[in-house]
Amino acid sequence: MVILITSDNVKYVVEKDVAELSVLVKNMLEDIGPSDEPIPLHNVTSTVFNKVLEYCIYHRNDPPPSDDDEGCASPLHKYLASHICSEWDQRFFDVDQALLFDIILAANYLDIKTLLDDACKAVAHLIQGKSTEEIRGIFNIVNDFTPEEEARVKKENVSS
Amino acid sequence: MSTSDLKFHLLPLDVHLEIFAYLPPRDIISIRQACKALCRVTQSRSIWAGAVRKIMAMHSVTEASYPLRKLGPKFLERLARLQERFGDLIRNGEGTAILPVNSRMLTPRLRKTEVDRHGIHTAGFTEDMILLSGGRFLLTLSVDQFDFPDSTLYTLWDLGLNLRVEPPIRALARFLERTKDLQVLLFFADTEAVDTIWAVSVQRLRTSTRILVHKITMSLRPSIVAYARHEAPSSTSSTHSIIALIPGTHSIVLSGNHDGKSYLRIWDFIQNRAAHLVGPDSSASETTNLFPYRDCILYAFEDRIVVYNVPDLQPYFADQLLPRHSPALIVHVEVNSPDGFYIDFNHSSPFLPPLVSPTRVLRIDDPEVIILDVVDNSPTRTTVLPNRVPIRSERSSITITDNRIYSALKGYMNTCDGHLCFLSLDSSGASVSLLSPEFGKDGNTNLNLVKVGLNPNINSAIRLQEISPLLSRHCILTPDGNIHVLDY
Repeated sequence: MVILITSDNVKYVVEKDVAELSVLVKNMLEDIGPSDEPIPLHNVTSTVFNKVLEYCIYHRNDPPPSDDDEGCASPLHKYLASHICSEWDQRFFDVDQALLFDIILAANYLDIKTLLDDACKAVAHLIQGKSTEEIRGIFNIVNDFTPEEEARVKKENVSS
Repeated sequence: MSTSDLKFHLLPLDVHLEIFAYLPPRDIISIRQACKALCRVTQSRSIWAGAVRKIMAMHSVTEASYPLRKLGPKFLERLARLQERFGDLIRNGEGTAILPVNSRMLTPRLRKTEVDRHGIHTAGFTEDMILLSGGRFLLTLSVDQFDFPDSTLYTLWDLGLNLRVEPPIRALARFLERTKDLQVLLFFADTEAVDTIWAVSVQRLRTSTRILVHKITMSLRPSIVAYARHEAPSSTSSTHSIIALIPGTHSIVLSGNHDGKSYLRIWDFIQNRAAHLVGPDSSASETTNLFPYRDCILYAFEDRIVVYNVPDLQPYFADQLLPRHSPALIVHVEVNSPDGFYIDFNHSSPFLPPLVSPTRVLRIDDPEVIILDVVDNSPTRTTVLPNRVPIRSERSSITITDNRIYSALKGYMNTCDGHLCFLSLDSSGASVSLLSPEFGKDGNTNLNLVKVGLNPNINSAIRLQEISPLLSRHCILTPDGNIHVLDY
């Protein structure tokens, strides 16, 4: 068991194999050796950590991601495999944007590659095939271009 | 860190890079125009290097063709977007013709040093050409009945990357092969040795088909050398033999017909090992096709697909009798039209809903397309002899309502921006079509075709042509032996 403390001082007792999905935690555990000292997670709140933990517990038995996928020659095959999102994952990432971004930052900080990949995929999915106007709408982005700048950016980026 | 008011455009750069890695260039450009912060982020070199790298992985293009480290962000962005641009030109130009922005011609003249090195005086008459995936390198085969009557001159050309400022086209290397009547059928970059490109040519003789492999080494002084050769029996010189490469290997598969029986010959040209696969009875004129898939080979006949395991290859010596291997599985396909044909559909659109499997074989069977999904039966990736055929086929079909699709599918196929792309030639000249499958949620599939003429303005007939949608490029060999390179 590993004890983790979030930035808002909530204490979690987590099984070692689940905690070690975070490379950050894994490295810390290796550094300090066997000990009951709690590990502080300065950059993660309990709200976000609940989600992270849910993901890690669900995916604890997944095979570790490998860069080199032997026996499966086609890059397209890899690509498709990486694109297939399970129903569970789809439901998991169906949260409000602020939480989704917080999950991404937490995954980045905790160094949980699969969670980061999946969360980024979920954001990419929101953007896919959308117009600039729609993207502004989705993410509540204020257009801070002057009309001249906007016209110039548009002109520079027509594909033909 | 309280981040509840965190906004998309304020995410750290490495997270943005991670997100953009899942998006096609088109979407990244839409993001760029949203606000100033995102405009800056999307200029990042790593985004475009990543986009180009993804294209390279999907099309087996190596750094010999696209030297990532030498290209600045602007060029990388252009390179990543060229195929979208080509697709847009086709879609926006339907019913008209598109004009090249840059038109160049290969100069076949030999340099003085080349005359000395190869002992010939002319570069000959170009008979055949093949474009390397990635669109940058072209290999030509030329002949001259007086200067080198029994030989063929191989020339490697660097056509550049369609980056607006192009140096003149140069012959990078030449090789005089002491064999005539050659046709080049495969030209591919080695997946391991980044500087190596292989060319596979055949010489069809009366009783056999001779396969020649040439090795091209890309270095400061690129070179072409004869590397290996192999001979497979055939009963007629007119046999429509097909050659395919087993992806990720150095094994070539050649189909042939010997005394009314079809066969496949597998040959690893590096280790010089081979195997002989016995096919079903077939007339030499039956249209067949070959699709290597993982450690299997799909050999498609009119109404059946014969599946083989790739067996262990035996060391090969000339005239040696190889052990015969039989098919592992035969899948029968109900067909309507006898002149239908098969194509593979490995290059599907990654930006459309995912396919059930990475490999599809399509039977173009007027008036419908039969889709055969090659489904992996085995849950593990480790396959063990002798049972290495984890394949069944799942059939569904699309009805072709647009009869232009049927003829387009017969043409030279490529992919552009995730769509099938066809180059065709008819009385009105060259044209290019895009075929886009739409996979509906209800299981129905529709095919959309747009066709547009290519107007190369060369005042000559076309003998052979190739396109590279990746570089928005069209190469034409004219009957007088000239080669035109047209960038759109």
